Amino acid sequence: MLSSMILGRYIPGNSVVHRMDPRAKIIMTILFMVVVFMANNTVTYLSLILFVLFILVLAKLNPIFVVKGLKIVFVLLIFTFLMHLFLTKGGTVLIDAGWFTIESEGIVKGVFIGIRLVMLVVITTIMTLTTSPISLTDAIEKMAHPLKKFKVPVHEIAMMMSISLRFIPTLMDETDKIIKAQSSRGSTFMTGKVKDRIKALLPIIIPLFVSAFQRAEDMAIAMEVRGYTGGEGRTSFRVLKWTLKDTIGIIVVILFGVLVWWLRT
Amino acid sequence: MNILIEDVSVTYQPKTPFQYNALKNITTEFKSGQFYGIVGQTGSGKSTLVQLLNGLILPTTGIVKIDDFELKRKTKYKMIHEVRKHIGIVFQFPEHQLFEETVLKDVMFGPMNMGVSEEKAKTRALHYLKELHVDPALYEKSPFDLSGGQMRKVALAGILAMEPKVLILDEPTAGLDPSSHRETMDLFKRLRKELNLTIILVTHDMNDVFEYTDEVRILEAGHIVESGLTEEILTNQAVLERYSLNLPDVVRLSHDLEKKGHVIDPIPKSIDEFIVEWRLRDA
Repeated sequence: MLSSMILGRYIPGNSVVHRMDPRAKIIMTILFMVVVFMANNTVTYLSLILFVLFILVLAKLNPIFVVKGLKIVFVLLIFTFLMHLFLTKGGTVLIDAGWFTIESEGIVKGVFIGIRLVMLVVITTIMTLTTSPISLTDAIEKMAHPLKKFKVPVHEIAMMMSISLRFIPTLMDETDKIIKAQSSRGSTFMTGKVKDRIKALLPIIIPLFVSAFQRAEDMAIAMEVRGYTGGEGRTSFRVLKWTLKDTIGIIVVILFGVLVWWLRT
Repeated sequence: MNILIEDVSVTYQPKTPFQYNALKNITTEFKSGQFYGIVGQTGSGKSTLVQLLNGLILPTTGIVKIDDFELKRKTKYKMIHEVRKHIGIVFQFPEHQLFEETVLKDVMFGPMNMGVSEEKAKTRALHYLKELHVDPALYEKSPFDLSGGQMRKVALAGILAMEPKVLILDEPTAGLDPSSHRETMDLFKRLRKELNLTIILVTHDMNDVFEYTDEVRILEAGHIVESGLTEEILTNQAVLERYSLNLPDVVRLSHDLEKKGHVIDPIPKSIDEFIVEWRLRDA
């Protein structure tokens, strides 16, 4: 169950998208998110979908795999769609059941907002799928550098981010192991009453916390032993390089934004 | 309990870029009351095989038969729960599964999940804690206050208190000091006799496999490549080398001595036994 989730995961690869500067990818993602919110009619929403498909192809990712991995998001999607279906009024009345009505505007809005959500999730997932967590935090650190003037501990925040990203898979594995160990001892959190299921989470959560704290302590000691003192004068092993394709990428997204602006009503 | 694995394959994350065939068409048998060793390189499918036996992983294709129970791709959870009453797994570093307020409660957790009454669970817990030489002064303490070795024993007691008929051990002695190592392994040997357990030991320690097990299965890349009597397979240098496994120390020593003209037959099960026999021979 946990293994099929791709939110926040990274798949190594060698496509153009993989090789872009992570800073460019972050900027492009933010720009694209702005563009998503500009769309307001069928043509613009269609062009959004086409654009995202185009990027998926560029990144050599299988769209079906991506969609499957985002199953969790679909719950949210269905919920928002239903909300719009029942609550948005306008257009022609399609069903009138007395205490509720479904009107055409509701369906249109529901579909549009749904597409908007999917686009936002897919584009950010493409970013994390093609960028290793380490280069992502490197990029954030570099981009947030000017904030140092206002005494924001940029390096420390970036370090905290990369450590937490680094430990997501480790903790997932750990959770998996503990679930298996407790299942072998007859713990049942898949069946039974809700109350019993919540109770059955304790045998998982407690060992997980204990080991997480243990790991944190080990990690802190390992960092101190290796002389870590924070960001002052620290150089980086991987130096980010801005190339032509990064500039082109950003220009393409901006041009796409202009197009959508022109097509919207 | 007889366990029969029939043409079982396991595929992780099928139809994704992470697809991985952990086991490929495996057929094997584990007979009641025997002591088995499973060896193989890391990633050869050992732990997948072990997890098949109590339904933590279900076969992608094929059947696992445990007496009258059958585990298949779509076996219902209720059935799996029944199977787990009879098959206990001690995972690597079992002390990481402790969570209760007191040692005693933690040991009682397993049996009570399996429908044993509180009273009975307590009797069992006390019995197995005593069996494992856990100091009674610790019974009411938090398991997190114990030392590593004691935690391991409590976790073991937690599995034994479920009174499984088959005990699966995944690297049970990893990280233990030599004397605890010996004590733990001897305990399994004794329990097997007393309770007529089937034991399946997964380990990298060839000495333990040679000393304690009756039969071995060697796994490589998801296949069972060797299967047979321990004293036949683990004394065959050519076979072990093919799968990058080491000869047990006592076998290597005996082979070396044989080259120098001292024939030792049969090869003793452990270095200790070897020393005893060697002294008798000299005398």
